[in-house]
Amino acid sequence: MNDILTLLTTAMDYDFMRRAMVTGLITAVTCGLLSCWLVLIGWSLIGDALSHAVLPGVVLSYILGLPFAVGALVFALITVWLISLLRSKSTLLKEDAIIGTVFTPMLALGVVLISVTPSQTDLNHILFGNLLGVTDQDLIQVAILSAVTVVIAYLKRRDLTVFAFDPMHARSVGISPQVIGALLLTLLAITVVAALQAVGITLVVSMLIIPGVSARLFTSWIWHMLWISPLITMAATVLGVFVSYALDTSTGGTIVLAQALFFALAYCFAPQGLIARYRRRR
Amino acid sequence: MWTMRRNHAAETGHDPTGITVQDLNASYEGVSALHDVCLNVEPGHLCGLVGMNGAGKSTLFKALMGVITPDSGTIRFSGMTGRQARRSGMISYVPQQEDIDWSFPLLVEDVVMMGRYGVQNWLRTPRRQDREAVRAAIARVDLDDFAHRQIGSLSGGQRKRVFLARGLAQQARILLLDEPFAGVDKRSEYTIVGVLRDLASRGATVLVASHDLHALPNLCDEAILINHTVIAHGPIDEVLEPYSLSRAFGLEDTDDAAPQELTR
Repeated sequence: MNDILTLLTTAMDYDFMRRAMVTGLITAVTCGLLSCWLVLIGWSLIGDALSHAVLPGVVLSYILGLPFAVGALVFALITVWLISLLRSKSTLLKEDAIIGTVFTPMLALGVVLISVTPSQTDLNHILFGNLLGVTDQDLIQVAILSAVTVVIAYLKRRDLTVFAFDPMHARSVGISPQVIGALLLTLLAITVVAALQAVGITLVVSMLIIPGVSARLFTSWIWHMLWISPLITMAATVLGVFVSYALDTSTGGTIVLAQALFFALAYCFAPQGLIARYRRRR
Repeated sequence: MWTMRRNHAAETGHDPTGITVQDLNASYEGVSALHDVCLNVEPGHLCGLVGMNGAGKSTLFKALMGVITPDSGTIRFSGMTGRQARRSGMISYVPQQEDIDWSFPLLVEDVVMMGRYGVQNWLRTPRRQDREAVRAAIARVDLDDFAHRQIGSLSGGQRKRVFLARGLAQQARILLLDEPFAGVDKRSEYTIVGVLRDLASRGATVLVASHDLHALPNLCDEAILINHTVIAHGPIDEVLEPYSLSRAFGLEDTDDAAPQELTR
């Protein structure tokens, strides 16, 4: 036990470990918060699609020397626009099929762009994350993007919730579902960019889905979900970073596995989990 | 086209109140659903909207709520356009049971509070008068004991009453209800009818879509029969007579046994 504690305290002596932990925790709060609305609306697939579709934007930003967020946002919006365009022009195709058909070529375009761009090591980090290699500059960018997202999402939490629950009613009290939907998509795109550092494009979606689902198992009140979800994500991040340090495994991958562990525990033991429900039924 | 229609209304000197729909044509998901619908529901009236499934009731409601854009025609609420009326918060909509995710982690109180969002600041921070309005609305529909329950734990009738309470908290002047009696117990039906009558007597306009021909005569004083277009509009007992019904339900005129079965 003491050995483990010593190992963990020494880990925090390293600058790169401290940066990794702080970046991971900031990402956790942002993803955890947004995740609540995403899972309640049923936008898991949209989150998946957007997180992959930003890749070409990020690579282009890298080539042009722009902040990643700019390119990512542009490609996130192009993707959303393409999906809604294809959907409105044909009633023949199902929405999930259209989403899948749009985002995978976007991801492929990103992969192709990476293959023709020199300095491949950096760009592979976009796919799989590079928490241990976070620079101070990266950390500041993640912090700013996350702060903007968290503040806006928290201030507009009631609008986001009425949009998620009953968009028709939102109209009748003068809240435009289109505007709130666009706001949520924009926040989502920014969050994806912020989370790239921690877990990479391939695993961002797990940070956007698992926290909300786990939090829902703890409470049936959305206003509690909004802080439980970030808290669970932060706990999983701490666990993931330490375990990956101790076992020398992929940081992003280990964080997501820790998320999954927390979800499994919540699914069984949380107040709305399997065992509690079974007991209530008897 | 739109301007022309508006001028036409102005020329006839008709000052519209309540819900006014003129020459409405609308399609939903590529299928034409409403043809030349004209109707006018006056304030103080409880009007039933009767038709089969697929007769265009839902499309009409979607057009009234601005979810779909009509191909042509005008919609006015007390003379205002749909957008103006919705922005002013004067319209409340009670959705069908199936259109709501009942596992959504909201309490009864939260849903009713959403009725106040239109009159709150941009952060929708609840003030004392908002809490007071929510409490009064919940009491009016007899849900005091359920204010802190998650909506999914309620019965069918209680669920309808939550949304009615939201409309009360909103202080809406126009209420649109989609199948309010589907899966509703007698006690809830009694409460809902009482509240709606009360609202109408104070000058609200109430439009109730239903294919339940038994509950309507208790509630409504007039009815509109639709089958893609308005077939009849008038006092409830006249509208619900077999000839109109057979047309609304798409039956042959000569087949007089079937409509009686429907009204029985």
